[in-house]
Amino acid sequence: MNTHMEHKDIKQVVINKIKNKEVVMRSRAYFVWQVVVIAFLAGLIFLLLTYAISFILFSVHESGEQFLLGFGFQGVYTFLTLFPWWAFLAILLLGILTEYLLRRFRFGYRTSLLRVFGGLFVMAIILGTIIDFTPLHNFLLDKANRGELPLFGSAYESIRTPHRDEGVFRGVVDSISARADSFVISHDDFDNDADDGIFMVIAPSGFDVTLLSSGDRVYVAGTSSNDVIYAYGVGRF
Amino acid sequence: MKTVNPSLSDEELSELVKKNDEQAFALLIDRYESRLLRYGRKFLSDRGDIEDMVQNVFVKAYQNIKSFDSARKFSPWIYRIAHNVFVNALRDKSKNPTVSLDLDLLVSHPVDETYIEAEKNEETRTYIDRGLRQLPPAYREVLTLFYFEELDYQAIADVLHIPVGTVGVRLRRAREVLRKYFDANRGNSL
Repeated sequence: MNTHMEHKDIKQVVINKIKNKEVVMRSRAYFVWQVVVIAFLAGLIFLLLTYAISFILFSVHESGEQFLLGFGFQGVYTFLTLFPWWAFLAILLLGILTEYLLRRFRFGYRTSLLRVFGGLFVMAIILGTIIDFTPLHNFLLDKANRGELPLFGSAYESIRTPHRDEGVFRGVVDSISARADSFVISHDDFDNDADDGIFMVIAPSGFDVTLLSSGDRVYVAGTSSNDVIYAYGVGRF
Repeated sequence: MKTVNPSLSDEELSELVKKNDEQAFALLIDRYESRLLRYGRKFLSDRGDIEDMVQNVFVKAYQNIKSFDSARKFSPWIYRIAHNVFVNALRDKSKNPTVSLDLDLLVSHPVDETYIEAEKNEETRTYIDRGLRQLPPAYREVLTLFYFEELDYQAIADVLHIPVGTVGVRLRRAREVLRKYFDANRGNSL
């Protein structure tokens, strides 16, 4: 039929466009830059992902919330309530974004989504744990407490936010009762505000109060009434 | 006028194109025009649209030729451009374009190319062509690339940007859907 005509038309149109400079070849530098920018963005987002993971790790142990995991079902429930889910959501989004960028590379699309995603998270968790061992977050926390950290200041300040409504207290042991079934703490969240105070903690059954000493920083989970906390879990920092 | 040796490979021609050799590009158009028109016909029915899109594929190929690594095969590269052009066209034509996650991309699949390779004959091609329109685009495309464009699994993976194992899974599923369709309609089987 007219296959031959179609063939000639397309070729002629394209070659004419090239000859008339309507279609121009992009330079090699354009593509090199494109790859560099994508790789840089992927690296940057991966660093943010790593930072967010290390922040969660730091937040959980610095706030003492990891103790909740050893306080039974109620403790786990409170842990999940207090968990910084916004950071977790940010981590997921950053992971998806990194994967999206990596899929532009051959190794990215040739590998299954879960394998790339899993690999990214394993690497990020390892690096995040290493960062958690460095003084970076403590340094930033100190700056936040001094009001010198405008960008992530509120995130760091929230680590030590009291959660009395959720039945969580942090403080320093002042004294231990002679019967070894209770102790007194000064609630101390480093902000010198109205929620600071002195509480008597009734220890949970089976908890050896004699393990505590005056001056110990403790994490207490329980219900409070008139400055008395009926604890279901006590952890020492 | 300088002529280009027609026995040069696609990859060698692409190197000449990078040096502004228009004749070399014309030769590449000769080699791929009918293939890309055939590829487009598996997705779109309007002949004018398909020709416009194939022309667009060659324009994009010329603009981006310096991104092509001639140590690799040229055909997956130009089919990848064609895939993007056709997918965008289908998306534009669709009244309700949706984004869906392909679950086959989530996990790894083992690659088994051997059992299916023996069936790349004219009879199979005719059979598949008869039922191709009944398949979803993802299955239709993988069958087209494998049986009609004669690309291997690796090349198809590069065209569709999916893992090689997923190519095999899609091919197998496409053939199953096709078999069910023929079983239900004509009593034929593959």
